[in-house]
Amino acid sequence: MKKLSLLLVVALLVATMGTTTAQDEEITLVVWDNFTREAEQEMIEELNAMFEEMNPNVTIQREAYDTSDLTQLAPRALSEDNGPDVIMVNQGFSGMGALVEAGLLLPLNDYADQYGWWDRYAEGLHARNSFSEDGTEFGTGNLYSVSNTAEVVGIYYHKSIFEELGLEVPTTWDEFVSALTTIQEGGYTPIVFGSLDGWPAIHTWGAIQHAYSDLATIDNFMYRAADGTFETEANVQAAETMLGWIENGYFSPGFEGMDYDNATYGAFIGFEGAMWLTGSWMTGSIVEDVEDAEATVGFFLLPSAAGEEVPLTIGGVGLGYGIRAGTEHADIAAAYIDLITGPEAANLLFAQGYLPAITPEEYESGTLTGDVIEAWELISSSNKVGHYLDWTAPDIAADIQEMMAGEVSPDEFTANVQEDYESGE
Amino acid sequence: MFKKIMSQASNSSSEPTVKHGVEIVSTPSFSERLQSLIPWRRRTSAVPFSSGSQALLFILPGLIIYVVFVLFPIIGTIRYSFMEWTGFTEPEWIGLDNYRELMDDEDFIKAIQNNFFFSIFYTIIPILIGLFLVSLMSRSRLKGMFIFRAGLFVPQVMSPVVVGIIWRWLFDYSGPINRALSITGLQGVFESVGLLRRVTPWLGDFTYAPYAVGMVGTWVEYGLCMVLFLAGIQSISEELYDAAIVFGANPLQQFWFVTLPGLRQHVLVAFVLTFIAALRVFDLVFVLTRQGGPGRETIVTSILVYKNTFNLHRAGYGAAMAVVLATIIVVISAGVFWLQSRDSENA
Amino acid sequence: MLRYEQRMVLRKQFQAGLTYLILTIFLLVALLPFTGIVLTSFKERRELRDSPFSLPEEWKWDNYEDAWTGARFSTYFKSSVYVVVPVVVIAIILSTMSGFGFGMYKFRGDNILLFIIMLGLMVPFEAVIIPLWQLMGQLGIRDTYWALILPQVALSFSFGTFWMRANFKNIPTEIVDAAVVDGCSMWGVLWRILFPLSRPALVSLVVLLFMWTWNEFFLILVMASGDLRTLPVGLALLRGRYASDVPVMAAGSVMVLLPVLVIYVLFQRQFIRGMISGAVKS
Repeated sequence: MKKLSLLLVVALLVATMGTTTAQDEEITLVVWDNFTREAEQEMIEELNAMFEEMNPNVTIQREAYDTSDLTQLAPRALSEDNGPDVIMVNQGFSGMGALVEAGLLLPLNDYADQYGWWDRYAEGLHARNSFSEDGTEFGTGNLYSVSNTAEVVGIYYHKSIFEELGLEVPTTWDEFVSALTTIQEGGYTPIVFGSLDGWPAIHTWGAIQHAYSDLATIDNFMYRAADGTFETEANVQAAETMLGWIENGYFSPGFEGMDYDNATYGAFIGFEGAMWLTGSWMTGSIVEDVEDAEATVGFFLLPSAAGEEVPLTIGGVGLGYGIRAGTEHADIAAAYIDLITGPEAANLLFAQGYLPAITPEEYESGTLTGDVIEAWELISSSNKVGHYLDWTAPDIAADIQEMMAGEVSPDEFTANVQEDYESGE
Repeated sequence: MFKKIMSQASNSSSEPTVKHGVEIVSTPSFSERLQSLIPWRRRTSAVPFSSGSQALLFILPGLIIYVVFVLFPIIGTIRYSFMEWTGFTEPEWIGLDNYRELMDDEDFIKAIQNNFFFSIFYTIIPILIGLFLVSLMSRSRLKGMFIFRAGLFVPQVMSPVVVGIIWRWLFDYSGPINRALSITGLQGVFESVGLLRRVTPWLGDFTYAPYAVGMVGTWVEYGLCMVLFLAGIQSISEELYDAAIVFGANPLQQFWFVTLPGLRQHVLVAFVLTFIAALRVFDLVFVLTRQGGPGRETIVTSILVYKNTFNLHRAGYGAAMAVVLATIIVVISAGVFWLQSRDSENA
Repeated sequence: MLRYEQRMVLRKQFQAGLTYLILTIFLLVALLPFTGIVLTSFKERRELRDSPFSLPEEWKWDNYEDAWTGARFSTYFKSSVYVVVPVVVIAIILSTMSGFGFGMYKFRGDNILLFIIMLGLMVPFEAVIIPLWQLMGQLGIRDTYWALILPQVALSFSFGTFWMRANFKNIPTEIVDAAVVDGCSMWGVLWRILFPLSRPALVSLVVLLFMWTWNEFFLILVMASGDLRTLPVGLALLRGRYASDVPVMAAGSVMVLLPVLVIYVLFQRQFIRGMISGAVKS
């Protein structure tokens, strides 16, 4: 009896609220991306209009989400029949890996051959958007997404402060370390940094770690190769260096309590600090907020502590565009990806302050955006692009915070990360 | 007969009276009854009707929605807690493995400990503050109390998202709290005795973050306790206070011997509501310290459940955590309700 | 020497002053953060380095405009209303009925049934969300307002039943007896007689349910996308979009708070009065 009434209610709900889908010849392509800022929206709308003009029977229905929302919604949205046809996918095991393992993404190899995507950027970068078909091996196998942006973690600096203190852009590790002292003596915070949000610590510590490491070791850790390990001499050294910098007061005072968007950013654009070690994604905001930033702010790579000429640097391609395995419009979706990751898009992205994965046609050397593009060109052409550690060790931010606060020693820190890493397999 | 009672009830309901400084609308027949039943209000007759099927007719419409949208999913969660499941692929039955793993999961143990630590700030301190405020507001017949009643409840009304934004701003390293400390010179005092650092990064500091997050919890929850006690104190007879005064009781003794016993039931309700809130807390931590940082210092169970379910794609494991947490909550709440019902029977 | 009466008057005045002082300190702690955010919402970003409690150089509504149109708060506001109003109305009706069922009748297993209904208050929501999400798919109401309304009705029903049951238990049985003797059906007793009598408890319940539903975050975050999102989630998104624009964020926060504050201030007298009949069962 009870069961029957339940069924009735359920049936009633379905009857009254069931979706009505209009059947027509027009194709609606559902696209999910992470371009949420207003200016970015306009840029994407422009590209979408371009695509709709080229394909008159296609209407693009686009939704923009924060990266974290996108990652959270993706698995379930992609398992639905009316889910997004094209979606931006986060890299790493818990992002793309889980989706591939569940068979939710379409391999793009054939489309890549057809459209010539392989030549868009370096082969090593395509590896970041690749997984084995069962989703267990990262960095090999099929291509599942194509990116249109790139990122490089380097150092923004105020040229005026450098001039005031008689500093040149450091090209070696020793020069960099002595610059830290000079800046501090000059009354500025050498490196603005805030670790309240957790993730910025991954970039700051990770940058130092990359300076001490070689790509093979980090690749093996990242892609979970048989000899992948976190317990390396370089990692312990990097932790000790960071602790030394904290001790010496090279970072913002009270950095543990500073968030990224307001406090840290504010400290840099407010000239409290001379340098900011962070990702190239801030270029657009800095250009917008700092007067004449193109001329007064510059960008350089943290020099290698291992003496390499081109320093190994955290970076990579941004979220890539993938196609839902169950879509009925795979060909159209691929055509869309071709446009959105192509040269026209690159120029528009560049105009928005983004670092496009493909070098834009025109840029000016010596400007902030020029610095960023050249830094990226340098590391991607020399195969010195490192990794975001949280792609394979999701809890590493907490571990770094514990190490920075002296709750654990550098050795215990690497052991803790290793433990999390192994249990995550 | 019925009409007579009704007219009594409705006649008087428009006459506000002031009692304990709190304006209430009283119904003489009601309040007389209530006061004759000091110290506990009690029903005189047994529950009037005992037709179970008729009762069910009233309960059923809501019950169906509840069963479909709460009970079914709860059962689903219990089922998934025995499975290895990403949250979107075919689940695989693994028996008690998830629960076994929980026992050795340091993060989970830390999270449960934190939940209990926060319950001091969510439950005990707000109840004490609530009692204190209510004793101030109700025993003194002062003007303008409505301003305090209205204003003091405001934090409880706020969306936790906004509370988080506000307090992140207050705790900011160059924010109002640190500025106030340095302007008033307290910074120097605390620093000299080694209590504070040059710039205290409150929410990012391993020592202070748990207290900072806890304090925000107190700030939010005391209003609920206060309002519950304000309501409760109205049901305590004025005669009891008069009697106490005749025996020479000072305000503190009046509070201890009259107010507190009279509010026992309300304290229990406040305890259950705030304690459940403390164990379930999610939004506040999520907006204040993101994933429960610094390190894992303010991590709570709900955050771990969320992380496992949505970030690590271990929905089965997350479900097991949720089941353990829910069991703790249910056992403790049931215990308190049992106490409460025994208490009111004894009265 | 002061006379006894004078001493008493002085002492009373001193006590009153002390009471006001303590209460005012608490009130400041409760309200200053809110005041700060209201002031900030009218400021420009460069003014942030001033004291948070300084008045803005110029009272500008631009931040509100940015939040309302730029961050689409107008859409989220509409969505909030579409969700909150039905939840409160449906939940009030259903919990009044079930509270009546539990409060006025005694039947076998009533305590067990009540306890099962109370489970909804105790189980952490993160646990239930994925099965719930699957269920919405099976019912075909995913991505509709119903997917946001019905679960919140169900949860409000838990609390509402608890609340209204206590209310009905506190109503003298003679009223019901008399009505039944006069030939009134139980249905009539509930809606025509007891419902109006329960106004204080109902007002409190409305305020509480409105507040909780309006502020609900997690359910909406997971279940709603795009235009279906309500204000608190919209605010959380604003964080990402106007990431470093504190004044716009402050304006957004004020918009989220204002409706609940208005409801609370309008009803606060009845609200506190109503707590008496709902919170505690005798």
